[in-house]
Amino acid sequence: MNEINKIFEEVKGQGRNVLTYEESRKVMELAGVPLNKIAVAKDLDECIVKANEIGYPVVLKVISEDIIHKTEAGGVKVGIKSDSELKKAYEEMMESVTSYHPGAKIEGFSIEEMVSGVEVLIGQTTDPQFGKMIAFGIGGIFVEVYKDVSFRLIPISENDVEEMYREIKGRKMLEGFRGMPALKMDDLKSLLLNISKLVEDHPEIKEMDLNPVMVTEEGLKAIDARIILE
Amino acid sequence: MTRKFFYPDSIAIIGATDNEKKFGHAVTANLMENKDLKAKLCPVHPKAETIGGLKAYKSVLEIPDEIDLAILLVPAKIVPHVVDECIEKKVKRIIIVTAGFAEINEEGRKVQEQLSQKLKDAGIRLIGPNCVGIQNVDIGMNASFIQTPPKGNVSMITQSGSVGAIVLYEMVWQGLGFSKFANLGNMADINLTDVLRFYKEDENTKVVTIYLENVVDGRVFYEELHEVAKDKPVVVLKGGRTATGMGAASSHTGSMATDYSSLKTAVKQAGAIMCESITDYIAAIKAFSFLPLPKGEKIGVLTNSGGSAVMFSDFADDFGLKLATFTEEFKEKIDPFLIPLVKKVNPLDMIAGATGKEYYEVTKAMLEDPNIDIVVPIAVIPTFLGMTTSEHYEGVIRAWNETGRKKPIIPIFMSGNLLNESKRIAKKESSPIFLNPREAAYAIKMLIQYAKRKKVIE
Repeated sequence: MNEINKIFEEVKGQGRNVLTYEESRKVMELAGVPLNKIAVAKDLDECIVKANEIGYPVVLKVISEDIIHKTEAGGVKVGIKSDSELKKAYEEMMESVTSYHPGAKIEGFSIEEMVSGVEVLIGQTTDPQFGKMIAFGIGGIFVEVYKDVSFRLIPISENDVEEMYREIKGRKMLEGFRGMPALKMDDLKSLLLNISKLVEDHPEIKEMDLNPVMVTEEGLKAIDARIILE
Repeated sequence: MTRKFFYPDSIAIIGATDNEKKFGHAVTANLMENKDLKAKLCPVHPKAETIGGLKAYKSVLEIPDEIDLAILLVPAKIVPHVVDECIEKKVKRIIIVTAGFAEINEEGRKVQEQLSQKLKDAGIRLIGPNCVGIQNVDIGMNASFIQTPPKGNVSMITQSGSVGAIVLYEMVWQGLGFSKFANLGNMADINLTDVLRFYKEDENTKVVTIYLENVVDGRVFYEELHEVAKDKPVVVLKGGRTATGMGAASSHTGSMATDYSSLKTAVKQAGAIMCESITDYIAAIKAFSFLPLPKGEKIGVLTNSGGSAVMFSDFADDFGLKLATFTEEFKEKIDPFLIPLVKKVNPLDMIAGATGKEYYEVTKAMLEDPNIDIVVPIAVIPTFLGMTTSEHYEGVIRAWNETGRKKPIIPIFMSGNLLNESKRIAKKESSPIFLNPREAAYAIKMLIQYAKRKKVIE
C-alpha cells in the first residue's frame, strides 16, 4: 500500500472524512504538488534557525490543540522579515495566546515560507452525472464572487489545460500584470495533470481545494490544501 | 441495432386514420405522402377497410408479412394491449408516439416500466413513449407528426419535440436539409447515446446536431460524443441550467460547481460545439453543413458597404478572428476591377457601385490567393444603376463553384425582402447566406475551432 493510501486509511479509521491541513499537505507533496516551505519548531531559538533555513519573509503560527481560532488568539503573525522581527512577533504571540487562553498547552510553532503573487485556485469535485471534475481559476478569498473558474472531466489532457486557461476571463492577471510574475503554462499543466492523476488513482477523494496557489517567480506554490474523502 | 429503426422494410401504423381530426392522422399522412418510400406500409385500424388507399388490418396480428417497425398512435390506455399483440406478432422494433406515461405521474411511470420490461424480455427495441417520432429523409420516411424537410446532410437528435420542430422549420427556411431526425421522448429504451452511435456510422450524416436538457449516464454519453466529434462536427444546444443536486458542498470548488453546468463542460471537452442560443445553433449548423473546414485562419473581406464591414470587424475582434493583410501581388490582381477611389486594404470596400461582375472577380481572386483562407463577401443590395437584386450573390457563388468550393465563404447579405431571389439561388445551389455580421463571425469562429480540433489547422 502506498503512502497516500496509508494516510486515507488512517483518516477513515478515525471516523473522519476531512483531512487535516498537515495530512492534506502530505498527500499533495506525495502527488508532486509544489507547496510553500514549512517547518516546525519547539522554541524561539529553533524558530530562528528554521526561519533562516526557509528564508525571510515568513509566517509564524502557534501549534496547539487547545487553540482552535488561531488568528483571534493572536496565534498567527505574517510578514516577518528578520531575526529581530521574529523575536518580537514570538514574544507578542506568547503574551496574547496565554492571555486569550490561559493554561493552553503549546506544542510548538510552525514557520512558513511567505509567498506573494497572483492567487489562483485549483480544485476538484465530484459531479453526480459526470463524476470527477477538476477546476482551475482565479483564487483567493473572492473566488465565490467572481466565479472565474473552468472545469473539466478527469482525466484531462494537456490540450484540456490550455483550453481551461483560455476560458478564464481574468487571465490577463496571470500574464505578468503590473510587473507581477506570470503563470507558466508548463507549470500549470504539470500541476493539473498531477491532480488529475491523483484523483484517478484515488477515486475515494470527493473534493479538494488548493486555494490559494501563488503564481511566483519560481513557479506555482500551493499555500493551503484541503482534501475531503467520500 | 438503432439503424434498422431508420431503414425498415415494413411498417405497421397502429392507430392509422384518414380522419384529419384524429391524433394519428399526421403520422399516417406523413408516412403515406412520400411515394419514394420502399418500405411496405400496413395501416391498422379496428374498423376501417382501407386507409390512404391501402388495405387496413383490424389488428397487427392479421398482417401476413413480417413487421420490422410498428408505430403506435393509439390512446395511452390501450397501448399495453397493442404492445402485447406486437410481442405476439414478433415485430422487431416499436415506436410509441402516444403520451401519458412517465412524464405525467407515478402510475404512468409504472406502466411505462412494465411495457419496457416486457419488450426487453421479448428482445424488441423501443423508441418513446411520448415522442414526435423519427424521420429518414434519405429514403423518404417521415414517421413523425412534423413537417418533412428537404434532403440534406444534417442529422438531429432532440430531447424536445417542439424544439426539434423549431430547428427544422428554421433550417428549411434557411435552405438547409436533413438526413435523419429523432425525437426520443421518455427514452424508456433507445437513448441519446444509441442514436449518436448510429449517426457516427451513418454515411449520409455529415453534421450531427443535438438539443438536450439532461443526460442519464453522463460518462457514457461523454465518451460517445468524444468519438463522434473526432469524425463529424457535433453542434449542441443545451436548455435549462443544471443545478444538479450537489448537496451541501464543503469546498470552494464544490460550491462553484453547483452553479456550473457540468454537462456544458463535458460537451466542450468532448470536442463538440456548445451553443448558447438558438441563433448560434443555426449559424453553426449552417456553417458545418454547407462549408468545408478552413485550412488557416486568415480572412479576406469584400464589401459594397463600409458600415457593414466595420460591424463585421467589431464582431471579428470580439471572437478573436484574424484579417489577412493583402500582398502586393493580390493588389495588382484585383486592380482592374476596382475604381481608383478604392483603397486596397482589408476589408476591401468596393463602394456602392460595385456590380455582380466585380463581386465575382474579387471573390475569385480571394479564393485563389494562398494568403487568404476564408472569404467574407458582404453586400447590401443596391436599388440603383440598374443592378438586379441577386447579381452580387450569383457572382459570389459562381466564383466559389469555379474554384471547387475548397475554401469556406461566408456571404453576409443584409437586405430583408430584397434577398428573396438570392435565397432561391442559395437553396438551388446548396450555399449559405448569413443574415448578420455577428452570426457570420460566430460561424467562422466555430469553423476554426473545429478545424483546429481536427488538426486541419495546425
